[in-house]
Amino acid sequence: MRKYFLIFIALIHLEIFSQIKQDTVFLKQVNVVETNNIENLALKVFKVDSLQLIESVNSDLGMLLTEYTPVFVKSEGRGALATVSFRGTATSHTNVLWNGISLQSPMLGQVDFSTIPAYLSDNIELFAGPSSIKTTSGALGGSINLENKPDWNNKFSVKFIQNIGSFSTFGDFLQFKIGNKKLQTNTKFLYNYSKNDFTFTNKNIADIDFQTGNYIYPVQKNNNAKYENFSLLQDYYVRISNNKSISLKYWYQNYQRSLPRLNTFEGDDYSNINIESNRNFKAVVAYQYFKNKFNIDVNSAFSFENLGYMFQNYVSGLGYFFISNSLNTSKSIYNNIDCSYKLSKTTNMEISYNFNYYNVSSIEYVKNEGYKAKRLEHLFFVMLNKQISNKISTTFILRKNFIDEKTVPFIPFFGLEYIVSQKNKLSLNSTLSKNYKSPSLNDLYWQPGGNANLKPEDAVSADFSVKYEPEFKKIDLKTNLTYFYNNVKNWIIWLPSVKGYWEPFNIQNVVSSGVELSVKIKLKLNNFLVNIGGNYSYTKSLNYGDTAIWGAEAYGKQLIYIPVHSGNFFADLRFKKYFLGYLNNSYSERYTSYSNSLSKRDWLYPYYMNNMYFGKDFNFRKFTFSSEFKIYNLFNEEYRSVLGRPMPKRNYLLTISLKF
Amino acid sequence: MKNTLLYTIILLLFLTSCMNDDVLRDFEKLNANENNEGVFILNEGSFMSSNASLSYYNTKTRDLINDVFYKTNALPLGDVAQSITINDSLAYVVINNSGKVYIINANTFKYVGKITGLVSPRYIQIINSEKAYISDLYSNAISVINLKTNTIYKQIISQNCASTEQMVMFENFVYVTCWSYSNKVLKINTLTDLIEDSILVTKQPNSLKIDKNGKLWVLSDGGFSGSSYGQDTSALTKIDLETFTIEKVFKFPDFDASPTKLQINANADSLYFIYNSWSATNVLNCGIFAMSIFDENLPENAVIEQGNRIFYGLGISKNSEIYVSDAKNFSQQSTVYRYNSMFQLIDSYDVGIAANSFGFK
Repeated sequence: MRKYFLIFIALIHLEIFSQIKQDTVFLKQVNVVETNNIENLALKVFKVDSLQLIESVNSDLGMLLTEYTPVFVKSEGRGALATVSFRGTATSHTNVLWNGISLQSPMLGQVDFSTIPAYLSDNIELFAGPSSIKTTSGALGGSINLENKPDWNNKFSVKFIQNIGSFSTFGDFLQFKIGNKKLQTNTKFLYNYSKNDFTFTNKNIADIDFQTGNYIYPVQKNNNAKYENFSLLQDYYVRISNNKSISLKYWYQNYQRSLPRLNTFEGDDYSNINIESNRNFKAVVAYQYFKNKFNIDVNSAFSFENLGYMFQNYVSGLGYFFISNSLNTSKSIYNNIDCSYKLSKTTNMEISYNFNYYNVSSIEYVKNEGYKAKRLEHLFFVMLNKQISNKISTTFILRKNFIDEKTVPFIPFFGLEYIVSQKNKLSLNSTLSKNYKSPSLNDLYWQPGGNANLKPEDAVSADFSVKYEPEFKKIDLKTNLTYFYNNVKNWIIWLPSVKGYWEPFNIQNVVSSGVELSVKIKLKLNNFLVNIGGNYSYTKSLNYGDTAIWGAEAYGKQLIYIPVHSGNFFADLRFKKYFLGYLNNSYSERYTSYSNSLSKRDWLYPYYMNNMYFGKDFNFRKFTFSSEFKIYNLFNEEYRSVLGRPMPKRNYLLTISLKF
Repeated sequence: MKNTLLYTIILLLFLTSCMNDDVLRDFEKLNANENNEGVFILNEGSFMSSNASLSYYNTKTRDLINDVFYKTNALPLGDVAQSITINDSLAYVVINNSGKVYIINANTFKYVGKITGLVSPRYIQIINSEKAYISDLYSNAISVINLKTNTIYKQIISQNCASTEQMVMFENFVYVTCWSYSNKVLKINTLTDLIEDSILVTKQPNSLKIDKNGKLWVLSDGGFSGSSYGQDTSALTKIDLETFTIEKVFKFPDFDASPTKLQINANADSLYFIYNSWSATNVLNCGIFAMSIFDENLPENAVIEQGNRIFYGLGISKNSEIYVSDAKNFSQQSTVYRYNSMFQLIDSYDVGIAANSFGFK
């Protein structure tokens, strides 16, 4: 069996690497064997609960972050682009790593969180602010690590989930896990579709009733908003011997969606039609070897992404014609070799080297414009984790990057943890770093607008937190209060210009600072199991850019679309086999102009969203059958969260799942 | 347990909602009646944000009201307001990325009608009390509008001219610039709605005006550096309308100059435009240029220097006052500067995002 399996891996290997004609390439650490916690000493890591991960089976990563983490997500609407702000930073400052590979497009330098199905990962961890340096560089806000892991105790299990929801929404999820102590395979299929054609009363346009002079608001459908997402994830894990293992992970994704027109649109019914289609695949091969105190990981990965965007109009007498038809292709290769050595029980050392290569091309066929670019990265990493005493532990990291043969200054990180009380689990933690983010390839070369003279963003970040996680008889409490501070120079932002198109600028200086509070309570009472928690963030993200460019009105003002107050609350109650959950996420008003001038017309009033779910599990021998009903926008509210986009009123999702 | 669950759900469903969307509409409306001379300032807004707006400035009292359309009508103007044309008591506001034209009463700002179903409208040219033309950035066609019903009844297909831009009317003809990735001026017979002729000019003619001698002045920006269409040295072209031939081409000395927004005074003998650059390189003497229609050469210096400002919108009032907007970074309030005919600053005030044009009443 093992033999055949290795041949299979070899074949896939060949297929992948014949396409890239490159030597073997390696990537960041993949957990084949559970890593020891010593590597995360004094780091600020936020882990998404496995229960919450299961509850998010129908969600994309953006929705999961909204509901359970301190990260603010700006969504353009149901199924549409979702970008994030972690600790008041820009969306490009949050990196997402899938088994060590960055999901940030090398062209855009950012991630669309609506396109990542939450349930593809077995484990989700957030490395906040400076701590992100453990996983990547340039993630000034933080990094989100999505991991797939083997379950060595598994023999054979199948899971099937089907959901049906409002607005012709369907989802299918199928998972097979087969294996033994030496070999595991895990296959996941995921398919989501939504016509997304909800009905809404459009109060941004009106017809006049000429008899009464009153307005008649049209009732419209959210047309041209369909989305469809297919994913196939295949993992193989092999334990070659007690101290050697190899794994292969492969993820293919294909999604297509149309972006609806703004709700102020009253143009031709057949104009302003657009379709975005993305086909991408990623593969990671990892080899791990350890002996005594020594561990070596060798990883290589390949990522291919093809993003098409079509925008067309219909003109009577002429038919459909394209306004824009673009194809953006990126091929990325990631290599990593990572060695760690445990000097003692309290000291760990790690060094790693990454060699990454990106080759991108962007073509717009109507105007026949675009660019081609390559980028080469050599990334060096050294880490020392040391538990100085029972009370004090530290981590020190130093990164040195060479991007396109240009050297990026040293990226240092220092973390310190002090345990005040072992018994009450009260500890203080502080992290500090300097970080650099290089401009994305679009920032540099996009036609028109790209600016090859952009400087890398340059940040100093720090945080200080108090962690209190006492365990009582029936209550498990986890609280964390953090103060964070980021000072970013040369912050990159795209702005419209006098030329009629958008251009990126180094905005000079943004200071974001604030407080994060997170609370989780687990309660066991007789047959009741209660999980309650929430996150609150107070975020000031202030623009200290050059007043000659920004005008005095924008100096010291909050950046647009970043709320000062944001938070969520979740409660999950389980009684025997019944469960009931309530989710709320709220944020204060967001500004849409850099001078923070408020017009009611553009007012994004405070947002309070309420969702709930309830259901029941049924057991029958080895089978578990579960049904759940989820209600989104519980109070059937009419609201807006960005300008010009319709939002759905109350809607429902029924999920049934079967596993054995 | 089952009952508790059910009651909880029912209770939750009956809780009142928290977000009050009606606050965007339920307010005391502006009830204006501005019969005096005044200026509309059209603020383009940010693309895809539906935050275009209209400001109104009373030239006598110097009172400014921002956001008059929303304050009067409790509706947003739309996404990317492109141009405003005043015809008697009505103002036609073309909203490019909303595919429509709002028609408002120029004194009360009340919304009285709209022309919808357009593709990417840019400018409106009133032909007579019954007919208007609307140019379009993306549709290869000019829409012919019945002004009695405010509906499109015909399309003038503009082959080989993907984008139609500004229009002027002289006698029975309308002259149209083909701007984006184009280099033509079309001549349309308004009696037949047929394109009768066209003439090639310097790349990307963005604006045009007719002087008192019946000459057509066309300002070309030359295109963008690095575009696949290529870049020309920008130029001002004088066209004789009787023969529809080019009389003179005034080439700008700097290849990277991108002049825009050609305007003419009420006497139709002085031309004004914004002299700026779309290239990364700096062009000297940016600002407002003014020249007489009799001048043999282009002016060398700006009459109003741009300095640190980003000049975007330009308008000349009936008494030759100059209104110019500084759009800053196009993402916050613009500032409008009002100068007298001797180019001395009279007043300045903050309006909406990206003020791009003025409508004089």
